[in-house]
Amino acid sequence: MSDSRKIIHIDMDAFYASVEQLDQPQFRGKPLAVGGPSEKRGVIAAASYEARKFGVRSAMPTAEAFRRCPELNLVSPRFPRYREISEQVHGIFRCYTDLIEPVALDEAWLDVSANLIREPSGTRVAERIKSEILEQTALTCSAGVSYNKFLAKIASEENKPDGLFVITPEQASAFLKVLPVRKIPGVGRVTEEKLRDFGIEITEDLLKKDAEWLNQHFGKFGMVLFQRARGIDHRPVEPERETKSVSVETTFDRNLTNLEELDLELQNLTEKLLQRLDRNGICGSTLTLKLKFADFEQITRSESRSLPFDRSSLLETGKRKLHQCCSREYPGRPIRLLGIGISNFGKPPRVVQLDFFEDLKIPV
Amino acid sequence: MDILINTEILISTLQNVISVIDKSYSKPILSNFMIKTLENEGGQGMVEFSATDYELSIIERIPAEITTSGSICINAKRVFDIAREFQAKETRILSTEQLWVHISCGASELRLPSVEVGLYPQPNIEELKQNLKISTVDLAQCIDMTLFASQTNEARRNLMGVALSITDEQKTRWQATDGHRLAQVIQPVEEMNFGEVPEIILPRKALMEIRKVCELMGEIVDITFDERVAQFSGNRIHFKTRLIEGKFPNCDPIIPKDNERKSTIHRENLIHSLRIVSAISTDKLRPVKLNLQSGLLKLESEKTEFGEASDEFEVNYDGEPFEIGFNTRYLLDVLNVMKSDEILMEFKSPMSPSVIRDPNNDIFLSVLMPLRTEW
Repeated sequence: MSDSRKIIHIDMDAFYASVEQLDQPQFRGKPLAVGGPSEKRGVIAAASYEARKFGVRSAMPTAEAFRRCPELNLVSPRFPRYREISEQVHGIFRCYTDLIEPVALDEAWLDVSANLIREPSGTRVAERIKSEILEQTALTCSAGVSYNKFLAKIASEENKPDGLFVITPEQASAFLKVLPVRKIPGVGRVTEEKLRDFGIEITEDLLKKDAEWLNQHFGKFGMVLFQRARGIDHRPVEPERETKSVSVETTFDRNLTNLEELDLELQNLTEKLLQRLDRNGICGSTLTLKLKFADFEQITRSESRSLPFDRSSLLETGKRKLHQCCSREYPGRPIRLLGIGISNFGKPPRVVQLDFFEDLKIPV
Repeated sequence: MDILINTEILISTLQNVISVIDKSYSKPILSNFMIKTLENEGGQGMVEFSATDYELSIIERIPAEITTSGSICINAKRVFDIAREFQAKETRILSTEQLWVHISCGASELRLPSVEVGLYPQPNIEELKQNLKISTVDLAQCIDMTLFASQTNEARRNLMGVALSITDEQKTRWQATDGHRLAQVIQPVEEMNFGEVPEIILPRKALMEIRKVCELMGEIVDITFDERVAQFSGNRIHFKTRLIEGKFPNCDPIIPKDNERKSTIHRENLIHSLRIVSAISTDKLRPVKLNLQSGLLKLESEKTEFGEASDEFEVNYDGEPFEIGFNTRYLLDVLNVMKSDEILMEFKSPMSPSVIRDPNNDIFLSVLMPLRTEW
């Protein structure tokens, strides 16, 4: 099946950090990170390009970031402000197409195959969007243009910051050949290692494996790998896709049975989940804990409340569920994967009371 | 024990005692209170009424004619319900060795069972190093102007009271916040010594009870404290409360320093307008939008099934048009504790905290987080 769509992936450059540098000129040209303080075991949510030169990355513990860059400036995130700018950027998107799929505040896919300004060239649409974003928000973004979501996303990463990169159907296979497999969305640390064990490091190595082999070793995800290696991704751009659930999970380096170790892992996952939730500005009222045992048997346990979870109830409920599973239901069974997710978001309220400690990120 | 007490004083004292008694009745012993006779002070007989719920204790000393000294421990509510109906001038309380208590007033005669005194967690006043003296009027004002902003639910325990600390200018600072609003009073006091305890968090319940009986505490209240407890003593009444453990957040970053949009507003006008506009509100946040234009403040409600409402009146404002949403109740709470004719409101943006103060008196300020509204 041929794919003649025109898909653009827009990724705002170092979004939170750039907004802070925009609003607080004293940080311009300086290494800046947005995140939680190290004394509260905070992590970096975004780093300016000046900070990235020192090796500061998002999701890195703040303490580590300061080790790498002692003169780093750290500010607390201001999500309402990021949402405001994100809304402005989406306003620009809507001038070109209704097929917009937001991924996060700073990231979206646009299907411009048939666009509102009747511009046949996806590249020229991307150029216009880029320049309008710069004009209206004084922020830069990177755009990837291709014929599906996967390639558009890979393309947007190619020339960061302020980049525009196009992958045409003719260029796709040459481009993909040398792409490291870890760049394929869905390939995490554990899958990457497993692929490496089979001698697969770049996409070209993947091409040598047939669908059956991939299915055998990677299950359903094997099929995704098979397609992506060939530049195939038929997923449509789903406009304003409602977020149904947000979840994070981790596969351990070795199977865990120790409850204290599991508690710590759960706590780290919950922090990650909270960050992800913040990024989307929502929280749901159903929590789901997922456990995969050493023998690959998988269980999930959920709990719903009448009100959306907040930080402390999420931590507390997750821990209680974990203890229920590990001490009562399956005592002593080695666990290879732990996941936690939130769903049941409901309608966002029309009126929200802002809070000093949540919205201004003042420690309480 | 055999004592004779003025009935009016007895009723008033029992009323104070009863408010401290544990209403949950989770521990039966705490539904009692104690009366004990004190050494004669200059020929004047004194008895001490005391009650505690472990967190908060009250000790009240009143004059009595003591025939036989001693002490009793007895159900507070039962005694109060009876005594409040007494008509005669004096009431006699007499205990027997079999734990019976005889109470008589005029022709009324009661015999009530009592509890072994040793079983009751009898509160006592301690010698504490840190202290401050504050006029009762100022204390009442400090409580009134901060307590409303404290947190009522248990989500953040350290916010369930009023933080009392000392400023660089050697004044007391009273602060309360529930995350949505902050109220602060900077109050000079007669005398103070914070010693090694730079900040304490006084629980809501204690301050509410103290506030109720402030008028009975004489002109000056003496507050003594350490890092565990605080004692409020004035006239014949002493309160002792356990403090809230934990640290109160540093609220300095909450107080905006650069809110350039300022408007002077007639306080009563705003109160009336808010009541009118919020009347049709169905949202529990009771949202109201304030819209400032040159010389004019417009208030607007959300459209609901009960209709819509708006109001406007003249104010002092000469900035750009500006709009911001608030919880009506939060606005009314602060407007109702203020006494000035005019208030000064300072804004920056619809998403950032606003300040409300008395334009002629800088001891008080309140900071309010807005509502994010979508209508």
